[in-house]
Amino acid sequence: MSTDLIGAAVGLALTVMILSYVLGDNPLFRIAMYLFVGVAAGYAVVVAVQNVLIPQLVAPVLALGSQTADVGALTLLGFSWLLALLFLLKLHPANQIGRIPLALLAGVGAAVAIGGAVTGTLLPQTAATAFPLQLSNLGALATSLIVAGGVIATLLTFHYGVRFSARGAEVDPVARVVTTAIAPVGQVFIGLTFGVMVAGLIAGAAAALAERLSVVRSLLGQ
Amino acid sequence: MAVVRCPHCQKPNPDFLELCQYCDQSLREDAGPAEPPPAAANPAASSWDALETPTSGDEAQPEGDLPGWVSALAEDDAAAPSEGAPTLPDWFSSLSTEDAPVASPAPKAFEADDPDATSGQSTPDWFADPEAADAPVDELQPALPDWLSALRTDPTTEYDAPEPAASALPEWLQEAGPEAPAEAAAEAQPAWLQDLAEPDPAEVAPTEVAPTEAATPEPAWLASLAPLGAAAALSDADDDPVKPPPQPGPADDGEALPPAPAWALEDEEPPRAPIGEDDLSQAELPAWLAAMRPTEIQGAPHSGEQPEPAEGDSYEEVVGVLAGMRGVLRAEPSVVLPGKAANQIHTLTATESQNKAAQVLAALARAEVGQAAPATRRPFSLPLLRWLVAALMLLAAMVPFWAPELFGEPAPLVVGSETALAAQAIEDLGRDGTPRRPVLMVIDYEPGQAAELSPVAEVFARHILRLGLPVVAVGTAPGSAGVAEQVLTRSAQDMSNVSGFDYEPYTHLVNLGYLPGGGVGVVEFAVDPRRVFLSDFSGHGDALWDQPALAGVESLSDFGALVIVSGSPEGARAWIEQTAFINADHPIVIAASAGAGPLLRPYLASQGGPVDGMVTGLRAAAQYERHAGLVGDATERWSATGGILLMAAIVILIGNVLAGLSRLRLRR
Repeated sequence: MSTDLIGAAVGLALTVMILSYVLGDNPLFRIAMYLFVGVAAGYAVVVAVQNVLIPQLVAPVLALGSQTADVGALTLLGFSWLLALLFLLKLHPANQIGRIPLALLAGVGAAVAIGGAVTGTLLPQTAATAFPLQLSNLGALATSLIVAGGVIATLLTFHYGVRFSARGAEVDPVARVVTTAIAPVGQVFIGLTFGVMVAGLIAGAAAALAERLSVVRSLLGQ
Repeated sequence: MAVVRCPHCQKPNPDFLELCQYCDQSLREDAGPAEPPPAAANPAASSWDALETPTSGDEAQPEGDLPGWVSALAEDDAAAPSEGAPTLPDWFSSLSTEDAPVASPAPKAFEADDPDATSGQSTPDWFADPEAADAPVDELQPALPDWLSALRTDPTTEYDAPEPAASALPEWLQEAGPEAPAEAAAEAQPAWLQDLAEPDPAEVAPTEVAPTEAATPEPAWLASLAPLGAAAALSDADDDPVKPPPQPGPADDGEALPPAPAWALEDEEPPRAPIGEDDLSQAELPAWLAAMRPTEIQGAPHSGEQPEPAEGDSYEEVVGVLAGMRGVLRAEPSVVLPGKAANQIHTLTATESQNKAAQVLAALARAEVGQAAPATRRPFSLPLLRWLVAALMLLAAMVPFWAPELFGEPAPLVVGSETALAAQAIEDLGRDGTPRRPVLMVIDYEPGQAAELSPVAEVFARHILRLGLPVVAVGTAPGSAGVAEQVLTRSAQDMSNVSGFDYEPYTHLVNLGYLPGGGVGVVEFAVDPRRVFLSDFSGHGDALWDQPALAGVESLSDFGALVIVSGSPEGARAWIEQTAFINADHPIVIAASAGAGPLLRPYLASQGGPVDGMVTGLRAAAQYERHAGLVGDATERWSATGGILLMAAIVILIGNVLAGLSRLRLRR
C-alpha cells in the first residue's frame, strides 16, 4: 500500500468524522477536531524550529569556528541571542526585563504597519476614489458615481453624533439630512459588503466539500 | 408568676397550668386546702400586686384571694381548725391551736405539700418540745440585738419614735409620714395581719411600718415597698408554696438558736435555712445611676432596702414554647422591624430635553423587556431540517462527479476581466526581450483553505513553469510553508506529465519556507532576502542563493513577478503596502479566496494601482485554467462547487420566502 493511499484513507476517515456533525455534536467530530488542532500546533512548532531558530540562531553560532564572519553579522547574531534570552525571562510572569523584546517587537511592528498603511493603502485608495468622471463612457460614469456615492454614504453612516442648534431643541438641518437620508444608503452598502464576504465564506466551504468528495471519488475509483 | 409543684413528680409548673408539663398529671386533684388559689381578677398579677392586697386595708377582701397559708392563719386566729386539723399531725395540731407568739406561721401549704413535714417523723425534738413551744418570748430576749429588743418590748414605740424614723427616711417620706400615723395604719390593717406583725418583730424593720397606706398620693412603687418584711415572707410563700416560710426573729440570730436537731447532726449537709433579709441586702445605687432614674423615682432612698415594684406587663406570648406565659421578653420588638422612610429626601430637577431623553431610554428598556423571550426548554427533536439541507448539498455536489453529462460543458464559459489581466501579466513574462527572472509566489493561507486556494496557486505555478521560469515560494505562516511545498511538487509533477520535461529543484522550483515577522519580515525580505533565508524549507543552506533558480536575486525587485495567494485580506495587504516603497517594475498578481477578494479588489480597480491582475476563488481559477489552457483541479471541482453554491442559494431563497410568509401570517 502506497503512502498516498494511506493518506487518502486517513483523509477519508477524517472527512466522515467531520461530516458526522450533521447528526449533532458527537465524539467522532470532537476527535477529528482535536486531532486537527494538535497536528497544526505541532507542525507549527516544528516549522518554527527547523525553519527559523536553527538557521537563524544555532547554525551561525556553530559556523563561527569554521568560517570568518564580519562584524555586522556577529553583532546582529549577538543582538538576536540577547533578545531571545530576554524573551525567555517572560516565563516568569513577574519578570520585567522580558518586556524589552516585546516592546521592541510591538514598537517596530506598529511603525512598519502604520507607514505601510499610509503609503500603500490610505493615499492610493483615496486617490483612486476621486478618479475623473468619463462622461463619454456611461458604464465608467455609473461606476464612478456608485463608488463615490458609496464611499461618502458609508463614511457618513458612522456619524453617530447629532448636533443641536443653539436653541437646544431643533436638530441641525445638516445632521437631520445625514441621519435620515444618507446614513441608510451607507448602511445598504455596508450590508452588501458583509453579504459578499459571507458568500465568499460559503464558497470556500463549498470548495472544501467538493475537494473532499473528489478525493473520495478518486479513492473509490482506484 | 407563681409556681406549683406537681403532686406526682414534684416538678415546678406555672400556676395557670392544669396539667403537669412533665408528667401530664393533674395539678389540682391532689392540691390541699393550703394551695394558693389563682388570682381571679388578674391572672397576670405579680406577687407584688398580691402583696398590696392585704396592706391596702380593704377588709372586704375575700379570703379566696389571699394566699393559702395566710388564709389558714386567719382561720387559726379565728379558732376554727376544723378544715386543717384532720390533715395535721397531732403535735402540729396542738401547736396550731395554741396562741404561741413565737410559733411559726405554719403555712399549711408547706405542710400539705411536704410529705416529710406532714408525717411528723422528721420533726425535730426542739420543735416538738412543748416546753419550747410554750416558752415565752422573753426567754429569747437576750438573743436579740438591742435595737430589736427595744422594738420587741414595746411595738408601739417603733411607730411612735419619730427620731429614728426621721433620720432614716428621706425628706419626701418624712413629709408623708406625719400625715398618716401608725395607729391609723394599724387600724386599717386586718386583724390577722396585726397578729402576724406583732409576734414577728424581727421581720419588720422600723422603716417598714411607715403609714404608707394612709398616704393617698404616694406612688405605687412605694406602696408596694412598704410592707417589706411581710412582703418578703408572703412573696416567698406565694412564689413557692413548698419553700419553708421564713423563721421568726430568733431563728436568724445564732445565739438564740435552740440546740441543733438530731437530723442536723446526722446529715452531712443540713437543710438550707431560708434566706433572710440580711443575706440578700440590696446594694446601694451609685449617685450617677440614681440621677438617671425617672423623676418620681429619683426621690427614693438609695439604701436599697426596698425593692422596686415589678413591671406590670400584660403581654402574653402566643407562639413557641413560651406560649401562654406572661411577662416574657418579646422576641421581635416592633421598633427593630425594618421600615421605609416616608419623607422624600429631595426631588430631581430635569430640563425638557433631559425628560425626553429619559423617555426614550425608558421606551428602549421596555422594548428590551418585551423582546426578551422566556427561557423555555425545548423538547428533544430530531434535526430533520438540518439533515434535509445536508442531503441536498451532498446531492448537488455528487451529481456532477457521477453524472457530468447532465451539466454539459463544465462552467464557467466566460473568463472574467480580472482573471484575464492576471493571466496576461504572467504570460507577458515569457515574451521575448523580457528578462528571465524567477517569479516569487507568496503562499499566505493555512491548510484549511487549501481546497479553495491550492488550485489557484497550482495553476499559476504551472503557468510559470510552462514559460520556463523558476518558481520561488515563500510562506508567511508556519502551516503555509508545507502547503507551498505541496503546491510546487504537484505543479511540477503535473507539468512533467503534460510536457514530459523534468523540473528540477533549485533549478525550477525553490521553497524558501516560513517567513516570520509579519509586515516587518516582509520589509526585511524585500530589502535583503539572502539575510532572511539562510536555508530553504528542507534545510538546504549550502550555497542556497547560488542555485540557478536564485542566482542574481539580491532584493525583491530582482524577481520577475510577485504572485500573492492569500486567504485573508490582511496578508495580501501587508505585501502590497510593505513592498510599495521598492518601486519594482515587476507585476503583482493576487490570487485571493472568495471571501477576501472583494476587500482586495480596490487595489486592482484603482487607476494606476499596484495590482495588475486578480484571481478570486475557485471559479476564477477555473476561468484561468480555461484561459491558459491548463485544465486541472479547479475545472474538475468547479462543477461540484457550483452545484453546492446553487443549491445553497435555492435553500436560502426558500427559507427567506417561508420566513416572510410566516411573518405575514403572524401580523395578520
